[in-house]
Amino acid sequence: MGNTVSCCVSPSGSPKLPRQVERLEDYQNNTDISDDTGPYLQHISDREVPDDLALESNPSDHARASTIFLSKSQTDVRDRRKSNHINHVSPGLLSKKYSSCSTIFIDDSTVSQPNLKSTIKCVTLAIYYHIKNRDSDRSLDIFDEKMHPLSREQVPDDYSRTDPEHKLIYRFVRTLFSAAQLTAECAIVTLVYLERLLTYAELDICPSNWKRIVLGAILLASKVWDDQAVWNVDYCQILKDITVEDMNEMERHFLELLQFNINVPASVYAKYYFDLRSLADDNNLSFPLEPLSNERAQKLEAISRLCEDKYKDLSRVAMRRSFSADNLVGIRRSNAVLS
Amino acid sequence: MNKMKNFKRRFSLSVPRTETIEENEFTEQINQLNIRCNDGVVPNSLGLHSLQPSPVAPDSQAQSPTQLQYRNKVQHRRFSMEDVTKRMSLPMDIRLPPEFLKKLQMESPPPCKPLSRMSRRASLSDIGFGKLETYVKLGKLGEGTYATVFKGRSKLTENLVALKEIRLEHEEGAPCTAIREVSLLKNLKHANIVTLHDIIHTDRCLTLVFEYLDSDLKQYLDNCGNLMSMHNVKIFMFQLLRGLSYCHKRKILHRDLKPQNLLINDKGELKLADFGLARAKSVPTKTYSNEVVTLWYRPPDVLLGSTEYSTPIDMWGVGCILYEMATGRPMFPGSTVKEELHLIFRLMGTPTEESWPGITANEEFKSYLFPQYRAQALINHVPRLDTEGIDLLTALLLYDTKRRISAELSLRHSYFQTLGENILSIPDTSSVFSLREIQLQKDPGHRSSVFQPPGRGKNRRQSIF
Repeated sequence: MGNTVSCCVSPSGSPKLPRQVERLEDYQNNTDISDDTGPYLQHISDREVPDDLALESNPSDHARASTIFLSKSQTDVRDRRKSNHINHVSPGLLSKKYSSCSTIFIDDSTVSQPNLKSTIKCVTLAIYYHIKNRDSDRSLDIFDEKMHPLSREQVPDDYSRTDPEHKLIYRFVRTLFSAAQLTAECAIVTLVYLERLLTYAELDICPSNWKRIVLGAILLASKVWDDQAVWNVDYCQILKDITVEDMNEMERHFLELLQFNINVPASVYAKYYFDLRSLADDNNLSFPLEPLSNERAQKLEAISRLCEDKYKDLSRVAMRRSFSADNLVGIRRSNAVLS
Repeated sequence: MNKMKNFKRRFSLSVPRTETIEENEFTEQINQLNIRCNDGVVPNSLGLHSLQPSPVAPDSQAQSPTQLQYRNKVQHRRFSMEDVTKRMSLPMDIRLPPEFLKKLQMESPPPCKPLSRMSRRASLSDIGFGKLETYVKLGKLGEGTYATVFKGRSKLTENLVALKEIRLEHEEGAPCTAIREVSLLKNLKHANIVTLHDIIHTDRCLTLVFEYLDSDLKQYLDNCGNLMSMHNVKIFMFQLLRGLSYCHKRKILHRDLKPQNLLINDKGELKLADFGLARAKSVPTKTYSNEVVTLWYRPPDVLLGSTEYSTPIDMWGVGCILYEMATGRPMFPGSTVKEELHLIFRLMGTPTEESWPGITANEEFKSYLFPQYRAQALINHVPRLDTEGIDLLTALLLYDTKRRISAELSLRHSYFQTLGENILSIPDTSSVFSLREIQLQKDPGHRSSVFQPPGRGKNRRQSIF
C-alpha cells in the first residue's frame, strides 16, 4: 500500500486488507503528518488547460463564442453594402424567389441534414475570408506547400503571396469530397477543426499553407465523423502524387497541434451551421430553392406533428387558449417518415 | 482512514513550498536524478532503443513542431520550484530533469504575462512529456490485434503506468478508434474512469500512458473462484454506475462494457477502461453502427439492427455484469446473434407489444420466428441477490429502451441504500473508499495467497484491447 513494490509482489492480491495491517496503518496516519496518500498520477488535461488561457473563448470549443470566419467576412460585407448603396445597385433582387399564397419556396438543407454542395460552397467561402483577412502569415513547415508539395507540378515562386480565389478553394475541396464520398457534416466539422488548429497552434491560414491545412482538416474530420473511417492511403488515390508517409506525418502533426481535441459538441456544430447560413445570405450564396411539393409538405407535416407530440405536455396550458384546426376529429394524419 | 489520507493529500498540496534552487541544492538534485536514472534502466526484452534527438539539430523542427529555439543568455537567475510547477500545472512532487533545470537557469526571466500555448507545449516537451524515453517498460501485460499493453514506470513521477502501444498501420495512419479514445479520455476526469496521463505519437506507434491498475473484473472473479461477497458486488456496481453516469452526463457512450474493461486496483477501486468504441452523441441523427458492444453484453435492440441507440445501450451491459458478479457466470453467453437473442428471450420472455412497443413491426424480429417464451423469475437464477438487487437488475434489463433505468437513477436505487447517503455527494475525483464506512469484505471464494499458483500466465491481462 502506497508504494510501488507491493503492487509488483502481489498484483492479484485481495483488495481487502488484513486487519492487522489496518491498525498499523491507522497508527501511522495518526502520527505522521507528512505521509503521502499514495501514488497519484496526474491527468493529462491538468497540464493542458492553463487557467489564463481557459478564460479565452475559443469558438471551436464553446458554443457562445462567435465563429472566426463570420467575423472576418463582416468587413467585406459592410464594404459591399456601402458601395451598393452609393451606386444604387440592387444586388440580385430581380432573380430572388419569393413565396406567395399559392407557392412556397423552400430549400432542402437543415442543421441535421445539410445540403452537400451548398455547404461546401459556404465552407470554402469561409476559408477564403480566413485567407483574405488574415492577421499575419504565421505558419509551420509541415504545412508549407513548397517543402511538402501536393503534386509533381512546379510550385510557382509567388505561391506564398497570391491569395487563392474562392473558386479555386471550392474546386479543391469539392474534388476531395466527391472522390472520398464524404458527407456535408464532414465539411462543417472540417471548418471546426481548421479554426481550432489556427487557435491552438497560433497559426494563420495563408497562400503558402491553405491546401495542406484544409487537407489535414478533411482527413481528420472524415476519420472521426464516420463509423466507417477513410484511410490515409485513400487520399493518395485522389491526390496522385502525394505519399502515404506524407499523409501520416501531416496527420500526426495535426493531431498533436490539436492536442487530440477532436470532439465537436452539438451546440458548436449547430453554431457553425447557422453561421455558415448567415455567411451565405451576406454573400448572395443562395441555397437552391424549389417549390414545395405535395410529398414534401406531407413529410414536413408529419415531422412537425411528431415534434408537437413531444412537447404536448409542456404546451398543454397554451393549447387551451387556442384551438387549432389540427385537432379536429377525423382528419387523417400522415405517418412520420424520418429519413 | 481514507478520509485522513485524502485530507493529508490535500493539505500537503496546499502548503506552499518556497524552495529556491541554490547551487548546492541544484548539484545534489542532479546527482539524485542520475542515481534514479541508473536504477530505472531495465533491459528491455523487445530491444527497443529510444532515440534522443538533439534539440539543436535542424531535424528537431520537423519532428516536433512545438519545439522552440531558446536563446541562450548568460544570465544566472534563481527560480523557485513553486514557480515552475505552478506555471506548467505540474504536480509538486515531479522530478524535473536536470537538462530542463539547466536550461531554465540560463534562460532570461520569464515575463509576467501567461505562457502561450506553443511555449507551454515546448516546455512540457522539454521536461519529457510526450516522449518515450520518459517511461521505462517493466514487462508486457497483454497483446491484442492492434495494441500491446506494457507495465511501466514514469521517470518524472515514479508512478507505475500502463503503456498501451497502438501499432500504426502504414496505410491507415492513426486509427479512428485510437483518436476517439484519446479525445474522450482527455475530457473524462473521474475516480471511476481510468486516468490518461500522457500521449506519445511517433511514426510507428501511438502510445497512451494510463494509470496502472493491476487487475480487471474478470480476473477478480477468477481469483475469488467466481464467488464474490454480495457486499463487494454492491460496491463494485456503485462504482461502475458512478463512472458511467459521469460519461452519460457528457453524452458519451462507452459501447463496450464487459468485465475485461473494468479495471480494479489493490484498493478495490473500479475504473472504466477501453474507450476505443466510445462515441460522443454530437448530432442526434448521425447514424451509428450496430456492430458494437461485445456480443454477450449487447442489448436486444442493437442485436436486431438498431442504430438509433443512446445511453440505454450501456445499461443493458451493466445488468449483464451485475448478474455475472452475483452468480459468477455470464448471463447470455451466445456465440451468434441469433443464439444471443434466443438466450435473452428464453430467460426474459419473448418480447410482446406490451413489453416492447413496436416490436411487432420489426422486420428483423419477425424473420427470426422465435417461439413464444414466457419470462422466468430472475430470483431463481440469482438466488444470492436480495429483493432490491433483483429489482435493479430487472430495471436494467428492460426491452423498452425508454423505460430502461439510467445510470443516474440507478445510483439512487434502494439497492444502494445500505451504502449510506454520503456516497452520493462525494466529488467526482474522490474514490468511494474515501468514506470510512465503505469497506470491502473478504470474498467467500477467495483463495488464500498461500495456495496462489505461481504461474505468471494467470496474471496476464487480456483487457484494454
